[in-house]
Amino acid sequence: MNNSSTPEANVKPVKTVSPIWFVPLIAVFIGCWMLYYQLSTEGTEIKIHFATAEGMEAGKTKIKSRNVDIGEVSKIELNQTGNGVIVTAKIKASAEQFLVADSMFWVVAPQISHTGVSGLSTLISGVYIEISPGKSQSERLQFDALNSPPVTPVDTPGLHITLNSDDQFAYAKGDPIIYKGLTVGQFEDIYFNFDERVVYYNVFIKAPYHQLLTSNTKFWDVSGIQFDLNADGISVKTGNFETMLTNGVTFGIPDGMPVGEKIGERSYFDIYKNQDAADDERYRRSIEFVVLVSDSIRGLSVGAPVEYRGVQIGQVSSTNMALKIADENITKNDFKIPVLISLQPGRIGLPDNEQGQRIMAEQNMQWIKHGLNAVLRTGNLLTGSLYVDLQHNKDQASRETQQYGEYAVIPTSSDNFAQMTAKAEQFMDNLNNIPLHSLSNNANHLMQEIGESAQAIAKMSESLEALLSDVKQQQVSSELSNTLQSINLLTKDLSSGSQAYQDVRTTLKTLTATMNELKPLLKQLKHQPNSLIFNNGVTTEPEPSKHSGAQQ
Amino acid sequence: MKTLVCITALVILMLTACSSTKRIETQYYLLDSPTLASAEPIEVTKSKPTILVTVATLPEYLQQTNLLLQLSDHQLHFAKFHQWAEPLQVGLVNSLVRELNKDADKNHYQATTDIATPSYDGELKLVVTAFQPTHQSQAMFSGHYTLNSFQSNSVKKQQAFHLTVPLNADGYHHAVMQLRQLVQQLAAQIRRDLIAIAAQQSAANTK
Repeated sequence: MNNSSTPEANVKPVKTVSPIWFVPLIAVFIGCWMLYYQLSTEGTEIKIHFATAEGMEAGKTKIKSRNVDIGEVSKIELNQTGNGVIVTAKIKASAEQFLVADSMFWVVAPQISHTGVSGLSTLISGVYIEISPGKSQSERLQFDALNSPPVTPVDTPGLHITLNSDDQFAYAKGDPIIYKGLTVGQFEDIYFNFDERVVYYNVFIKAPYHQLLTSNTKFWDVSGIQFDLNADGISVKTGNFETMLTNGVTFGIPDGMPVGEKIGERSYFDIYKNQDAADDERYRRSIEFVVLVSDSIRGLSVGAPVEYRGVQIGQVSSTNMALKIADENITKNDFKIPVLISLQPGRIGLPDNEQGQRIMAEQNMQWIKHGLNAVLRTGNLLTGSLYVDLQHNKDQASRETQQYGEYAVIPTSSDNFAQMTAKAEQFMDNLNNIPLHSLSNNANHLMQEIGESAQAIAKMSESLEALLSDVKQQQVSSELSNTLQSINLLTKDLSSGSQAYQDVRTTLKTLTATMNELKPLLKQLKHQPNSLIFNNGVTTEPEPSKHSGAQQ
Repeated sequence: MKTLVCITALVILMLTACSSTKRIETQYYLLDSPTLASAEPIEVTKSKPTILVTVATLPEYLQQTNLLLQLSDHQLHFAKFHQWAEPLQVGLVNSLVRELNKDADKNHYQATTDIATPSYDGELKLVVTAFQPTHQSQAMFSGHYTLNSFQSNSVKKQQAFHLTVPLNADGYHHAVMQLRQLVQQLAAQIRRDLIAIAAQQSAANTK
């Protein structure tokens, strides 16, 4: 071995890192980036409380806003008390700004009601949760879902007001608010105040109709079809077609009232029974009197008009005032029924304020002293409704004004009632005096004559009918003969020897000849369909043959 | 040059092959031919009694336009390419009238009502049951005729007939000729019958 020839190894320390280490580094970097991406796009987890999870499914039910997916339900579980459901959902990062305090959630499911059909698409796709983004600045991650979709979409321009009613009306969510036949708003929410025993309705009036609402606006009921039987007769009223089937409320400003001032959110209004009741509310000031009626007040209702020479100046406020028995003693005299009437200065052009009230009170007191009487009159014979008529009795001497409690009394004109009774009695007497027996005899005689006349008319009509039928038959026979003549002419035209007949015969003969010519061809084709193209020339048709002993 | 000759020969062969098929044409026949020797114009004499000749009944199979050949006792054949030029009923009546009028000395016979004749004195009504060539190489004509008198409104004579003649040549043309001859025979028989009737009547009158 020649060791001297072996060169010495030059060992150098490795200073640089091998490039192979970049591979795991890049892998780690990609892993971190994926983790970051996953975490950053995962979205925010929220919890929504529902009463029930009907139709919802974890991993499937979407959360949408205006039909855009912004998240998905990830978990559904009962709450600790078991009376509700907590739905956990992941909201995309792009929609996190919607998770604020006043955002609303509800389940969209198929719904059919008198206001319309909605959510039909969910029949196939399944229910989804709709979010209505709020405007609040404070973030929130736990929500209570609404039991049903809000009647009015959030951010709809308009005005929220509160109506109240202590009457027997019942409105439901979605019932319309009508203005001159247009649906301008709807009932959103109902709240019953147990203390006041009044129902409050939250109502939304859409823009631009909310501008119609002022401090003098009055609301009244237009549910269904309203038949009104009052002293003025019968009237039928309805709002629009929708309110004929459901309930509804309309509004307006009574005639003669100023427009009033603009109102703000959540203003309160009363719902009146009808337009008349609402109109009556325009008069705020009134003075009250008592009329002591010694006759029956059947037919006199609260709200019945009080008229002065045909002009309504007030209305009946009460017909059943508590009776005041003097000294609590049993008395032989009959009681007079006190009827409270209120006269409104606004109705006769006086200012609707204290001054007008005072002027009207003084004027009436003056008139009462000089013979102003109240009379109950029948306003409508059909319904028997009564109204109070104030009239002057010029023969009346000056008298002192009576008081009934705190109210001044307008004397009733008893004479008029007596006159009416007397007239009625007189009428009954006249009725009794009618000679009914002789009248009935006469009537019987008349009926007999009428019967005879009817028989005569029947006979006459029979003869007339016969005459008419004769005439008709004659007419029919003449028409028949005309028709026969026409038929004769026609048959002459078509009879043998005529041109038409010859033409027809010639045509038929030509047709027969053509058919005869075609017959062999058709038979040949039937026998051998391809014979038109391939004719083998063989004719095997039998022919008559000569007698064996015959010679040609 | 050889190939050209071959191609030309082949083309000619193919063309001639196409034209070699025998052409079949439909043949039409007349029973009552105007070219027959007997077809002379007949003078209508008003003094002679006029007798209307009608074919009352013709079997359905004879009402076809195709000529007929009876192949066996129960089999018929309608010729595809041999047809009557006019309805057989017309040809039959016309030829019978022609034959009857040929030697008519007493009566005048008329086929249709087209010719204006005020009245007929009698009627010869023919009921045909067979009028065709048969497989037995003969032409056959059978049926019966009735002679009615319109004057006495009575049936003078009712006679059945069955006439045959042998076929002496092949083909439909000869068969038609033989059928025409049968019509002639029938006419002769009718004339004989009429003469016999007339003789009986005159004998009765002399008695």
